[in-house]
Amino acid sequence: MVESSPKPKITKFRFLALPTLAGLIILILTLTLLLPKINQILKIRQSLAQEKVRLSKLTQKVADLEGLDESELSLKANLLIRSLPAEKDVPQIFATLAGLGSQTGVTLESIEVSPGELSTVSAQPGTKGPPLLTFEVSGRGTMEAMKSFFGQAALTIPVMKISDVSLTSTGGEITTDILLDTYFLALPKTLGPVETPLAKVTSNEETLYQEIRGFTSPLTEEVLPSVTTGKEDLFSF
Amino acid sequence: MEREINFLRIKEKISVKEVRLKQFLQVGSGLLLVLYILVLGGVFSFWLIQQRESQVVGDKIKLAEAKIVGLKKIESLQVAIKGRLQTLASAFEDEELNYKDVLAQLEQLTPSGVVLADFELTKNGEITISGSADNSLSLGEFLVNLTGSKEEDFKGIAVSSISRGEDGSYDFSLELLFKTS
Repeated sequence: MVESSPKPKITKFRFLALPTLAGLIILILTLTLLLPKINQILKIRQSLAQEKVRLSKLTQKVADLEGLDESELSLKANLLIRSLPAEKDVPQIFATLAGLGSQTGVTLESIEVSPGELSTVSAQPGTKGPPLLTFEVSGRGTMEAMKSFFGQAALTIPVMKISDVSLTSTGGEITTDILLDTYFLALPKTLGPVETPLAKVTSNEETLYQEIRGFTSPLTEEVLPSVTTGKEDLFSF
Repeated sequence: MEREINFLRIKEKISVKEVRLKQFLQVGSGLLLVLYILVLGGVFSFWLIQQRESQVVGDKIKLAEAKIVGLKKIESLQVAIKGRLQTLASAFEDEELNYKDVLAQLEQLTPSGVVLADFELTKNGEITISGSADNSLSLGEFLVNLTGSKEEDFKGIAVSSISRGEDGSYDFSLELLFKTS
């Protein structure tokens, strides 16, 4: 009986050394390099897709902004802020109504309002639309003057809307009580995230702007004189 | 005749197979390793390309953001304009009643013998009128004018009260609705 020595047994499996080594190298490289890199690639691709979307939004916004004319926008913004003031500018509304009255021949007997806090936020919220402040106006004049007053009020800056009218005829003269809504809107405090798309003016809004361009203000320097501020004695004129 | 039997033939055959297997494993594993390294290189290259692309996109984003910051004034103006136009549009949404027109039309429809004393008009177009007429003919003409107005602007006309005075004049009060567009 011939016994085989251990040495020949090892040499018998020597041919497996290179494949085993290659397998080990592949396994180690896969665990230490390949899988982490694939993981990184997946993450980069995911964030790249998001960044590309963000870039396209930003590029679109830049193009939109570059397509706008600053001087034209300034004119528009100026008119619209006069039409819809940022604050409850009660004295200005008083002056506007007085101007309307003198323009149309309606003698204003009283104008009443309870503005509350003078911040826009506290203005009475309307059922629809912006915060509003309601004025109660009493006046007298002829029918023609009344019609003219109503017509002019609808085309006046700042924007105002008559909500209720009561007319009483006494001896050829007409007295009126009017409820008149005026609107306010605070200016935005922040512009929001940089990638927020630029809000474009719709055709309906552009039409409205063109209508408002036709509105006028009865205010003149005479009606609203500039006064110096500050006084020494608060309890005397 | 004597025939030779070779008992080692099978063993020789096995040896050839083993040799081929050994060669295949050695050459194959070498090739596999080379191929794997090539794939690994490809993955690394792709990772580098992706990183570079991400950097390029990041730079472009920074550039675009800087441009937007530079155009901040235009954006502020546009936001203010848009906000105000939206608000005004909602305020004008139900702006349908033209008070001047209502008065003008009512004047046209009022005959000479009728005098309006009180007139109330709400933004919904609800009108309350009280007045007096010289005689029944004038009052009748006024009511016919209202009900038969060309554009049918006045509708839902309801007579709240009519009273005849000693001099034959009539005091009346009406409720009606002005058609809003």
